[in-house]
Amino acid sequence: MTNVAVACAVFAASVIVSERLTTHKLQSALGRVLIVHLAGLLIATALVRTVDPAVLAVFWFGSLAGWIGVRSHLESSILLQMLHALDRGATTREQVLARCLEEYGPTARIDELVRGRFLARTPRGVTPSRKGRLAARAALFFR
Amino acid sequence: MPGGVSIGVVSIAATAVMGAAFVLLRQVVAFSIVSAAAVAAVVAACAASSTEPATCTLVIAGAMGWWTGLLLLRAMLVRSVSLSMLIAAAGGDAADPAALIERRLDDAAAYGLAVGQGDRFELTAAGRLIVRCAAAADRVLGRPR
Repeated sequence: MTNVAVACAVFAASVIVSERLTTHKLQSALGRVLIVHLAGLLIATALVRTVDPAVLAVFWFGSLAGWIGVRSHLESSILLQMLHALDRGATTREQVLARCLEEYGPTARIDELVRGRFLARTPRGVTPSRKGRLAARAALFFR
Repeated sequence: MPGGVSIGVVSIAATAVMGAAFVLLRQVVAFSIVSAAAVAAVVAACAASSTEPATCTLVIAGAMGWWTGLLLLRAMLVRSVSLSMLIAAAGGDAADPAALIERRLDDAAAYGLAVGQGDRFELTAAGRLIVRCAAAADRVLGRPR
């Protein structure tokens, strides 16, 4: 079980390093996060030599997929923001929506998409970048 | 392993099956049935072989994480307000963001996280538990809310 502990420890260290690199939203730093985790997987493979590298890869990418899913929901779920608004004393539909639209409404989301280089501000307004068009096409395919 | 197939190959095949199911099956229930079968195949392969417990722990954890991650990714693809806005900006078809956001309040009631009486809403015990868990996770991650 030492192998499991070492693999988990290196994975946790990779999560901590990638958290340090994520200054805003995870989606804006996905490339850096993947690089950190690939490095982490290489280190784990070097440390845990008695485990098949394929097994380590399955563990690593499975855990990473789960972590990215949970992390993205924690920072972006509008349902979660509404539960927080209700917990902070908002009681009516108007109060909850006003709080969510103010803090997590279209304006804040456009700012985040621009920060993540999915959208670009141009004299004609906000337009999708190449990265944004690719992400939109992929999302429509997998939806 | 019988037939000389290693647990690594079985677990990679299981994650590939889950990936294919994610692409081909849009319904969460159908995807989860296939994924549960894939995880069960990994568990059965571990039980049927003399694989070390450490290796079994790693592959089962990885397969479960893959299943969870793909489920959450499906939720994001279908429900993400930001993604809907990006698709709309790229010329696709998407709903009004404010309407999407408003619909989530009804979802909270439908999922049993909040109860509504007329225009007023309050958290249920499950809703309060999720808020506490999310707040604890935010503290660990050092994120203000």
